[in-house]
Amino acid sequence: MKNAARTTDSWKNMEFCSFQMAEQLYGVNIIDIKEITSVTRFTLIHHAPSHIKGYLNIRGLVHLVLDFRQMIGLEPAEITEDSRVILLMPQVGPSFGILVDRIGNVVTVNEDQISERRGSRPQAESSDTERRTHSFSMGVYMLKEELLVLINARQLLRKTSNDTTR
Amino acid sequence: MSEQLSIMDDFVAEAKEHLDSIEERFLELEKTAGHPDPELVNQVFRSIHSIKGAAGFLGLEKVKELSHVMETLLQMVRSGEVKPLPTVIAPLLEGADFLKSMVADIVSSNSVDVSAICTKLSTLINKNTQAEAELGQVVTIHEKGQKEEIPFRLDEFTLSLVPPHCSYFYILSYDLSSEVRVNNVSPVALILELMKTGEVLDVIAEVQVDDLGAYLDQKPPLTCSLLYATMLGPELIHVGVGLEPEKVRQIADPRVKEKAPAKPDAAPVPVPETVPEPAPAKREGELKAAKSNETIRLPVEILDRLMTLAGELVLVRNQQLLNTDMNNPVCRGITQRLDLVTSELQDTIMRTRMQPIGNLFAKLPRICHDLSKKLGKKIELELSGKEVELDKNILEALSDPLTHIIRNCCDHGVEMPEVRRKAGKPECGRVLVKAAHESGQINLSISDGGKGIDPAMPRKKAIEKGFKTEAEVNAMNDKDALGMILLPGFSTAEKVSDVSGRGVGMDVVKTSIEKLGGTLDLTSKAGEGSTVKLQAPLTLAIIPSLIVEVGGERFAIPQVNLEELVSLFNNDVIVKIEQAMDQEVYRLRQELLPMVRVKEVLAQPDPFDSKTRAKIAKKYRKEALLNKGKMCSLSFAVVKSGFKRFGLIVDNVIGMEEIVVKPMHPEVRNLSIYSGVTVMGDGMVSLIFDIEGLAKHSGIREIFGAGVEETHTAPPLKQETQAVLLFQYGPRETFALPLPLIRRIEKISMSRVEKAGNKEYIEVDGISTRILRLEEVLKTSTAEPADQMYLLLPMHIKKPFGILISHLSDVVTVSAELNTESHMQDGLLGSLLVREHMTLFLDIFRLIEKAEPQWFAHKKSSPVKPEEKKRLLLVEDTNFFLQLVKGYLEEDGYEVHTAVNGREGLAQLEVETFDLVISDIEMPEMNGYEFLKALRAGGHRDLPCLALTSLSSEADRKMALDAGFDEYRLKINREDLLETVTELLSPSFTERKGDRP
Repeated sequence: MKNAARTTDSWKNMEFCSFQMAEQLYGVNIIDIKEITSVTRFTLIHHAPSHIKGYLNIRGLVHLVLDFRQMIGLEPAEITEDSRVILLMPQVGPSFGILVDRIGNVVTVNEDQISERRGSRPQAESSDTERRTHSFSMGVYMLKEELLVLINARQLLRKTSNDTTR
Repeated sequence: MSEQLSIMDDFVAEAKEHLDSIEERFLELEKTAGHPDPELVNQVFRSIHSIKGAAGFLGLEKVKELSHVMETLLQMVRSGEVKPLPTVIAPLLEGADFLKSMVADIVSSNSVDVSAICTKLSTLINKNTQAEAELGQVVTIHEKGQKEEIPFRLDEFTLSLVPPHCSYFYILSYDLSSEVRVNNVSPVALILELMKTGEVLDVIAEVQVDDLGAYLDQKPPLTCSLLYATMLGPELIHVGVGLEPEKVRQIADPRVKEKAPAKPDAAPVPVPETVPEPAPAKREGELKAAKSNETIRLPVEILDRLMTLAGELVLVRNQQLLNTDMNNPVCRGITQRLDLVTSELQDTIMRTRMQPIGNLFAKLPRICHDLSKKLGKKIELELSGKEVELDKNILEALSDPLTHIIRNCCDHGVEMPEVRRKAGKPECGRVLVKAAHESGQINLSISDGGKGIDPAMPRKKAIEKGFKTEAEVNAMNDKDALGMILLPGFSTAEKVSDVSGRGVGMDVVKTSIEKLGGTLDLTSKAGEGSTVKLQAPLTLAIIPSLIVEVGGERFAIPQVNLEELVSLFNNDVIVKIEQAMDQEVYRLRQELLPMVRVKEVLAQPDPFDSKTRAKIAKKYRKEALLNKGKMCSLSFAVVKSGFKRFGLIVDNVIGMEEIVVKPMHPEVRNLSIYSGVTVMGDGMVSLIFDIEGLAKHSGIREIFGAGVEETHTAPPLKQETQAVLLFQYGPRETFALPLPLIRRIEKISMSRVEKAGNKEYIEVDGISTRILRLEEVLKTSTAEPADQMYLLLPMHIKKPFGILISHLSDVVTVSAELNTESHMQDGLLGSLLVREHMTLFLDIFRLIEKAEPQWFAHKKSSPVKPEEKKRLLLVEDTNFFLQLVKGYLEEDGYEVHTAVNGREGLAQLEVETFDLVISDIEMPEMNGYEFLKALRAGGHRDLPCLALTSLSSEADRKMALDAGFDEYRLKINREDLLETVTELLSPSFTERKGDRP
């Protein structure tokens, strides 16, 4: 909780790494990102919930990779040349990363221009995605031409834990 | 050397513990300076007090000196004379720091200069008390009734600490070396023991602390005198301190003495610090040097990370090795050095985690000593293999189990001295703890040489507790019976004692060892003692594992769980994997091994139920039949976990590998079938199977104690299964009949039953059929009247006959080995526990015979005289049929000898003569055809031979006759069998045969 508060406070002018999932742009605060890798050979974990893509070894450290597509309620897709894994910092959660469709630019975000997620109504998304995204998004940011959904990386694992305790 | 270290370690550990807690408490005291918590003050005081006591005993002069001053000050805090203000606490903390650093380098502690801090503390004492001069005054002491002074140092302060009820003062002389060697009591343990019943006021030991160990190892006595104040009177003191009377001298109570006009100025100037020859600068330097030698504590995470990186470095090195131009001397040199350094680095990092098991052993003598006192036994503890190194985690995890085992040994194993004497053993019991490395594992064996465990006891207990039935227990061998002690909820202590019977049984010990990937084994011989053998891996970080492939992915099976690998080829794949109820099984030697298909487990996240298993079995059955005749193979690993043993069917076996174990990610830790992950040589992550988890997931039950499947007859017979119909007649019993003996089952309406005399008949297929109610011939409950019932029509019975049944339960596959001892009645083949119900197997022929004796008129009516009996040799590998057929033949008046295969049959024929040979066809070692050929070739050309088999085709029949059999009969047709035997033995047959060319 403390951490989340601090993140919010230090948001004045933050940089977000954007990535694209099915026409929609998402962003993760770059201070939460350890590394972005193109290695996409995963070790399947049978019996794990479907949004857990598998294990990935990055220089001797084993990471758990979540499929961001399935986390926001989209159909799983083939891994392409553009697929990337965003590995997150240890303080975000025990070594893990998210698999995304395509990496975009780094976007500078002014805190004052972030609109609360609850109030906004993005049209590009289905209601299912909307509902799923809600638990780990912090708000939306208006870019020139599109919306950027800001992801709170710290909520990603929390969300999956809730899901797995069926 | 080792002994010295263990004693010192003992003190150091103890002191460290105290000092660690003190710091916190000082700070707490400071906060509440106004009204300090008396209990808190007491705790601190006691800590310092016990450090002082032990230090004096060990000749640690400086530690004693400093702690004495601190104690004095704390006593004043305790009495309320001094408030624990920051000005008081600060020097106390400083003192504690000093003590800490001295304890950390205990051997050179005597050369540390403590005068500065002592002065600081003394000033505080002086400032706060007017009585200081008095307190520092030396009190002289005398042996009771004598005037001669005794050279102990005792001041008023120390004396003031003696509680009033401790009114007896003694000088005790201990021989430290014998205490350690014979009684296994370390000096520290001794002093703690003494402090329980009194106060140790001063010690005179003529030893230097740094060679204390050397002295202790020597045989000559090492005496040490103690000034001891206690509540124990002269008649109790010897027992209390464990010394012979001549080693204890009573002295007058100095406090009483003082009232009398003593010689107050006899020693007017107390010189407490007589020893120090201060050379401060040098001492300080030494202290610093000692400090730099200290060990450092690191989180294991950092070591793990180092390990990981070293592993990565190995990968890099491997790539480098491949890409180096070996013709270039410069490059080659560098690469070779890289190779070397990497290996060494990996090795060293591994070693950081290793510690000698001696650390764990150090606390055992104390436990043993305390227990032997408590229990009134004499127990010596012998430790060997202290230098064996193992991973810190394992070491820690072994601590509790080992303690528990030692307690058990002392409590239940070693007998009371008088019992031992009577048994002709030395009074002093010896508990032997041995540690040794063996094939990458640590082997610990703990033996007590005590009374051992009579296997009858766990048997009795198991029945009492309802774990097992009498039949099951009797069928167990002694080893398995002993093994039951390791079952949950099984404590063998007759009385629950506070020593070992605290609700934690050996099962907890076993479980915790198994969690480490180890094993625990108990052997015992009544009267000679028990031995616990414990095996654990040296490290959890790197384990040897079998790498297998399933569905194109690699998995690791820890070697500790692995027993063997089996490969089947072609037809065996279809034939050898059988089905028992819903479970696929493989007959591995004597045992039915449940089979688990890893592919199916992975595909099915929910634990298997009976339906799932049946579905899987069916699927592969089908697949196997489709592939019949094609080239195929199947590999499985035989694995064990606890009492479970089963086969894991995999696609491919890759090989053994040492893998570095990493924990599962917290998100997926709830998945029971994995125990961790590892990174393979090519950088891919592989999952490590948790065998216990796999067993649970696939519903494998414990096979332990499946006593009913064991057989008493030696040599062991092949484990046969048979399909049986389970049914009920009366409400109380369950009956079974092998399916091959059942012709069909007819649903009947009881209203159609006709009575003739006391017999009942019903028309089936136009024939009036005799209905047998089981209570007519067996002691059994009666069926409740109902209109709808069933009539079981048996096979191979020529007369119309049926058994009345009230309820059909199921068809199951069970062991063909029946228990023929308990629940036996005439008319039963035996009994078997099926699905936890005692099930009675009917001997259908005998039942009919009992019901309608006149049908069997051909049976010899007059008993045959023993010398006239015809001698038959029955060769049959299945115990069930062996007993069945033997029974029929003996009833008919034959003398029956048996053999379990052709080879044995031939051996019997060598030494005995027979009138007839009856042999099975399918048998291990030597089958019926081979047997008969050998028999005919070996001079028994004319001996009548009957083939008895379940193979019923015409081709089989022809093969049997070609092999030399005279007749060919199916196994289960009793009447037919007996008729054939009679015929083969008749003179007419022998003549006819003799006439043949």
